[in-house]
Amino acid sequence: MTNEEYISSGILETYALGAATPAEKLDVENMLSSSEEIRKALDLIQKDLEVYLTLHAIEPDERLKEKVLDAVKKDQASNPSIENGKIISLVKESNSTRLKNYAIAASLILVVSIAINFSQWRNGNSLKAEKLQQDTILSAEKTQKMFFASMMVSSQEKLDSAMEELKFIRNPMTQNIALNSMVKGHPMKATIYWDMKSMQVAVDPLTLPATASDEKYVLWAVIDGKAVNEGNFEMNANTGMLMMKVIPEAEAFAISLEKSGDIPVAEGPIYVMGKPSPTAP
Amino acid sequence: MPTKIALPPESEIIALLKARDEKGLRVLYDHYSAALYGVIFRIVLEKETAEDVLQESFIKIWNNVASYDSSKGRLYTWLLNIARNTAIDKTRSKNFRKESKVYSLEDFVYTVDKSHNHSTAIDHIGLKKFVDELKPEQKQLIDLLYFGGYTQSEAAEELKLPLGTVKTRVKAALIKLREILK
Repeated sequence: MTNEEYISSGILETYALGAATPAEKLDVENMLSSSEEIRKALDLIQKDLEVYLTLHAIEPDERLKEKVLDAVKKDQASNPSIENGKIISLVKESNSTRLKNYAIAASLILVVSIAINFSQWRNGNSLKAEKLQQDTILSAEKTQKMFFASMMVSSQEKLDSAMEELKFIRNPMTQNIALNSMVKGHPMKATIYWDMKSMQVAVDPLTLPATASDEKYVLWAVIDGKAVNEGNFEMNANTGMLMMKVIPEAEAFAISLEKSGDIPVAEGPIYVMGKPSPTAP
Repeated sequence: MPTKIALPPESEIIALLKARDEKGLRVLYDHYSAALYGVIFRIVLEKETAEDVLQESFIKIWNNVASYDSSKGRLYTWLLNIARNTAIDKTRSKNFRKESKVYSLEDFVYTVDKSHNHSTAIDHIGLKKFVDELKPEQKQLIDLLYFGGYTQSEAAEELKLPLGTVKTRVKAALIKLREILK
């Protein structure tokens, strides 16, 4: 298709109206980056639309201005992770909460032990104090042991899964595909790792927002222009790389947010999407 | 002439915003809030929700301005799309659907046309000219897609038209739009 044919196909108008399908959207965005002519054509359409939309302008209430500006400032103050508009991914919470709880318990017991000791000593009840102190120290030691044990187990678990992930990612047959945000104003990212030998697919949901209890992300493979459900997952602070299905072929991958994981066609919004490179790995 | 609003050069506003200058935020509000609010209102059709969505949109704009790339698109379009998408997300959220009645297509089109009577700061004659010159089915389609958040296939289903017709009509509607603007 020549640029002229592309421009007259109507796809740019559809895109400007926000009505393009994810695949169309991706296609337009690819074309935009490769052709100045197409970019200019879209610019013209967007300008027309801007004027049309401006005709619908309604002056909001006067009082709203300070309210909105205050809310923006407050949001910025409560969101130190958003610096210069970039969303810095927070360190994923892991078993560290459990570790922290043990650590807090251990130190609390020690404090209690010292306090009891002190008060018993003041009361001149030294024998009883000694016994109590020993008991508390014992339980403090026990808690401490649990703390270290849990730390060891969780480190080993983490190490094992990290090694597995690394092996998969570093495999020369694995191609990585960046999935970029399809939602304007939400810079989300996810990565697909696709072993071109075994055709095993793994997904790292990087900066996708956490799912609510009744939500699931569904991975779609676009095959011959049709999206096929390739499994679903939930996302929380602990979610790392996930092994998905073996997918023999796909023109594109997309992830949508759904109410149910078991659906034949996407119903919810497509959050991220990306195309594999035809020549990789 | 419909193009009455004088906007400051986008490059100036972008520079202020990128520097995260509060002045930039105020300029942005002063120049774009009416347009963004108009789009939002047309989507959520309810004053209180529209005000919430406007606030949410400004927060998003401010937080994402670093990712805005002027080589990839116009600032005004970017802003309008944030407002539009935030409003559409709102109409799809559970609470919104629970609290408000579900609008049928007829309601939607009716309300959209009715709300032209809403006090607007901008030239009414311009809009009237549009409404008069744009064929009703063309305007309906633009509004369904942009304000209603319909995909083309959803619009085809609602309007009981073949998808191909919808596609041709979208193209024709925007060509007509350009003619009117000339």
